[in-house]
Amino acid sequence: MVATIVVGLAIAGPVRTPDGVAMFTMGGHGAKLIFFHVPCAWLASLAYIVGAIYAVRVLLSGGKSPEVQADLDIKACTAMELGLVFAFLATVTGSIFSHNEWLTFWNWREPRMVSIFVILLIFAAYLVLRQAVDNPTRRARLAAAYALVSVVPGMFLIWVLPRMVATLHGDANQAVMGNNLGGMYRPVLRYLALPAFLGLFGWMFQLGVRAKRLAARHAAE
Amino acid sequence: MGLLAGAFAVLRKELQTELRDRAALNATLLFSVAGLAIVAYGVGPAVLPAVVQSALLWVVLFFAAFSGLAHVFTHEEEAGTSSLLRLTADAHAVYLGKLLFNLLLTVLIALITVPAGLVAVSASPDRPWVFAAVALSGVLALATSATVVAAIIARAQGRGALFGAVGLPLLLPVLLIAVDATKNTLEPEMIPGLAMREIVGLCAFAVMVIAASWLVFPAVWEE
Repeated sequence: MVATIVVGLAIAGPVRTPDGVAMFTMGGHGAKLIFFHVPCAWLASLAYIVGAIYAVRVLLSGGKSPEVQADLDIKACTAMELGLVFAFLATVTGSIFSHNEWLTFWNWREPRMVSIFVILLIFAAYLVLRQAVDNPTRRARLAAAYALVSVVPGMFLIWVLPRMVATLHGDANQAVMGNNLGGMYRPVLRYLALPAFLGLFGWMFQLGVRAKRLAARHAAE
Repeated sequence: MGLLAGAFAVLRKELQTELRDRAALNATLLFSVAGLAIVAYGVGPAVLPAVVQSALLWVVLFFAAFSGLAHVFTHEEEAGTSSLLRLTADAHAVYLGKLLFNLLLTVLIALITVPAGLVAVSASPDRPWVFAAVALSGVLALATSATVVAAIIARAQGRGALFGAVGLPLLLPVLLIAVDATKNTLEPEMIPGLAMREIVGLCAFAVMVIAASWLVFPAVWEE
């Protein structure tokens, strides 16, 4: 019930927000894409963090029963799958936004575009790696190890690279929380879109975990 | 056996086996020469801007090094010797020894590819030592990332294609910085401060990857 209201507000909020926004040159509804684009990028990062935390727990659960490890592995994998979905959505919406605003779909000198693309590749590589290992225990460990090693380039891309080169997203820190947005955009993004998308993530996450547990039980029977 | 002694023992074993059966080594070296020839042929007499020269150099170096770096772990699985190594050596000693071997191999590949590559794209760095330092730090970052990925994919199926698919995403940030840094050193007016910062960036990346690999390697290596 609460979730429905929040999601409803998250959809209604952007629609009721005035068109255009101070920092962008484009008018009309185009600028409203950020209500979708920014939360998708947040969720992609969140999925990465959640996946990495479960990966650590998979590696630490070595001494425990295989069931515990398998369940943690299911959670890590679900987070990474959601990460792939949201990184893909963030990439596509960002590209469309970029075309509206800067008249180019892609620019390899823009660090945020490069980083979302590389993170997209890392999510995909994680899932490809999983498909290439049959033994479930080994799969859990190898995937977790890969997820953790990939944190290094991930951190590099998110925190180091945007500071080494100029970016279109304005100051890297501010752009992350939407501080540089004017008018109603910031409150709508922060207080409506953020909780709504967090709720969406939680809902999708537990659905994915439950589906995988059922599949695992089915395979075992 | 202490950690370092173990690591050097593993390194010596790798060197001995590779030099005894030189097939993999020769294939890797031939691959880098062939890759260079293709670039040189494609470029022809054209005068390229520094950014294209640098990008071509790194693409050749990446693929040449990448073709050989997985072997250090895959050959153990193919020959069925990994269990024996697991029994006789500590996991961290194995990691260090194999990392050292891959570092040596990548430096060897770079010693062939980079000077010849400079000729192929007709580039001449103003300050060769700065250029060499950039290339070396890039090679360091490349070899450290490739080694841990090799350890992971050696235990999976379909290793050849998997190594590229799983390894390249980790290496894209390295490529990005290395190409930028090399472009700077190939430009008529090099900015020394920028080169320094990028060398530090690449070395820091290598150190972080070694630290992360050190932590996860036992989980990858042990049964």
